[in-house]
Amino acid sequence: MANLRVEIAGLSFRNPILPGAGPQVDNGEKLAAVARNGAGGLVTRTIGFLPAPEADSYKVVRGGYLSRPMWSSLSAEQWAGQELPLARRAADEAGIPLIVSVGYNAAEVEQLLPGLRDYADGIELATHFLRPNSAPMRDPLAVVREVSQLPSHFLAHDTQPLVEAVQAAKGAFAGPVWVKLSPWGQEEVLRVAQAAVSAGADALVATDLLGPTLAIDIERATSLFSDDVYGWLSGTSLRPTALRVVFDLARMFPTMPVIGSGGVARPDDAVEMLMAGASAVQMTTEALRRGPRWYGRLAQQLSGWLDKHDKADIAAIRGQAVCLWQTLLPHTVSTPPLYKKEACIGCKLCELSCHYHAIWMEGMVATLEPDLCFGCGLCVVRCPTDALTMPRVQRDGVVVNPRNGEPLRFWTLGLPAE
Amino acid sequence: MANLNVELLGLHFRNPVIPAAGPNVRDGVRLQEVADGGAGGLLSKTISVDAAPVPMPHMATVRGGFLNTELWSELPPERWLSVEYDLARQAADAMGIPLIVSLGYSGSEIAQLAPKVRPWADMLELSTHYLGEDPRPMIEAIDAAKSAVDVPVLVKMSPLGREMKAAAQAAAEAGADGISATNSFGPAFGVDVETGYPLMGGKGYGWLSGPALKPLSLRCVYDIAQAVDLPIIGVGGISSGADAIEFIMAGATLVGVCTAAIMRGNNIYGKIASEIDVWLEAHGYDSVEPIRGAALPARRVSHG
Repeated sequence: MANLRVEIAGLSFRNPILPGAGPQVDNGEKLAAVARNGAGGLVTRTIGFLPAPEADSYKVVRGGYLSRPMWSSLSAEQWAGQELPLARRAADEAGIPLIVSVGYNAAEVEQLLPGLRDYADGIELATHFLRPNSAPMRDPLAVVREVSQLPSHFLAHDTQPLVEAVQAAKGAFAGPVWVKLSPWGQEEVLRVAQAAVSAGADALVATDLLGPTLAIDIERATSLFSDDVYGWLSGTSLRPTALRVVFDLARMFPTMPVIGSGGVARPDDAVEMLMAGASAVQMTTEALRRGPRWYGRLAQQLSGWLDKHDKADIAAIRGQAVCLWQTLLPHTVSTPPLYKKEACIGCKLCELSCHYHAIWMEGMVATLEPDLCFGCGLCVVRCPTDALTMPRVQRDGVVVNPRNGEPLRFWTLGLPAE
Repeated sequence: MANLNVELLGLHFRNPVIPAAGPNVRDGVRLQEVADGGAGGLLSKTISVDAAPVPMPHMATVRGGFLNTELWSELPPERWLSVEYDLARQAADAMGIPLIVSLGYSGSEIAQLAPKVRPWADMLELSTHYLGEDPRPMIEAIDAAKSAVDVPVLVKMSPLGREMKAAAQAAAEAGADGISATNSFGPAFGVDVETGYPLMGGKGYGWLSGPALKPLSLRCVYDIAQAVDLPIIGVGGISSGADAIEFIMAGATLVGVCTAAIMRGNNIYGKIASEIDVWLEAHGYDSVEPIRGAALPARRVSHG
């Protein structure tokens, strides 16, 4: 059995499958269920200075979910008095850490933490409703409206509200502080991350929802949402973007733990996040769909995946894509795929995928015309078995089979000047 | 049968489904197939002053979407001018449909290319890599195209956040005749978990398209339609008639399809068009016109 335990900023988690701050963890009872069902640790829904206004629930779209970003509609007093004691007991019984998510600005965080910090092993700082105004919120709806008018890159251009919030959290809490990032804009995300790290963040959570986005009910010719037309995207559709943020953060801050969040639903998804550089993952939308048991299920399946691939622990795959990316030679020359006839099931997906008519089936055998192959890689990715493999070119001039690392030949087309 | 004909900037499209720039329209032969596959009009792959140095590998499916780092046409402009545009023009004329020629990227590149492609082009589409910060390169590109040729000029925009409306206004003020929205979204990233290698070559990034892009591109079209009085070609994750209708209700005049054609072949254009037809018919509409912009606040009307 592979060892799933991970250490993140001084806390030890029994596995890397955590809840993301969302409706599935918005009270003590739900948190206890998540702990009982095998999550590696607990993260609460974001606790705000005042209870959040009611919002439309999740809407299903193809490949994802749209929702209204919101914090908990329970008061901080109720969290301190009832929900967090329950969650704390559940975390202790399971032997896992409890991360309390709080928002948003420094004044709010400063006043919230004294009532909540005794229950928390770590704090996650939510940033979605950060705004130029540094006063504590008085009217939650007004805050929601104010933030909906801010430029998408507001925090990247003015990091002060974030810096102050991180400093407030660090000042009021002795343990680790995680900071959750929005996925908008590649450079912008990194600028915000840099500000968080400089202000003392101990880990980064990537990412929050992507938006605004829209889905239209064509039978009624209106948005799926009735209270505001826009929804924010999560689920599978968010995953490639969240993975990019994780990949970027892992390279920019090699010693900073990153928790990957966005569309993790299956063991492969968790593996992909870990390979891109994450130390753990958060799951929200899939757990809303499947229930809390999906945390333990996913942890179990991850363990099975590691066993099947002869990996002893999480460290054996964490950041693997970053390391391998560093070995690769960027090139623009076609390297036609390798074909393993024994693995071919004759499904023809390669032929259907090829826009260059370079590969086709003759009976049950694929025929490849290397001169016609553009090298796009689509047939390899769509092949349902491991019959096709894309050779990769290393910086040291060796063309390798990526499935086993075996050298195939030397690259004769010139290497980059170092 | 509803009437699917659509007018865009004085040009007549036999239905609202056209290709969006990608490998599906990478040369004249492919454009011929697209015309045969029932597209309402043609659009040729973005060319620039040089052939694109396309990183390998550069296309992959991911669950819910598609990653690419295709850049622009891998064929040099000379090849398009000597062979491919002739074939594309013949395909368009044979079907009686327009040909939109896509060009990139800077003002000086477009100033060079626009007059050369003019003999084949009913309309230009400019790709400008504008990401919402400094609109000047986009404005220069529009200026260059407008002063070089007399055909309508569309600008293709990347998906932006809350800056989408301002970006569309900047394009309108610069003289664009229409907007295509959106490009793919990125960068994004994916790993082949069986090997641990990034799916994409080059810098490792891919740009996201397919269903995963749709909620974002649809919102951009919705925002643009409210910001400017220009026709819009909606692009991003359209693979069915219902998807196309969402974009039309958000204000699009035409829709562009690329990823679905890569995945399912060139008959997809005609298939989507016929699905639009069936939906219109079932809902008692005799053309696309009544539903265009139906979901916009200014035009919100009761249907059904």
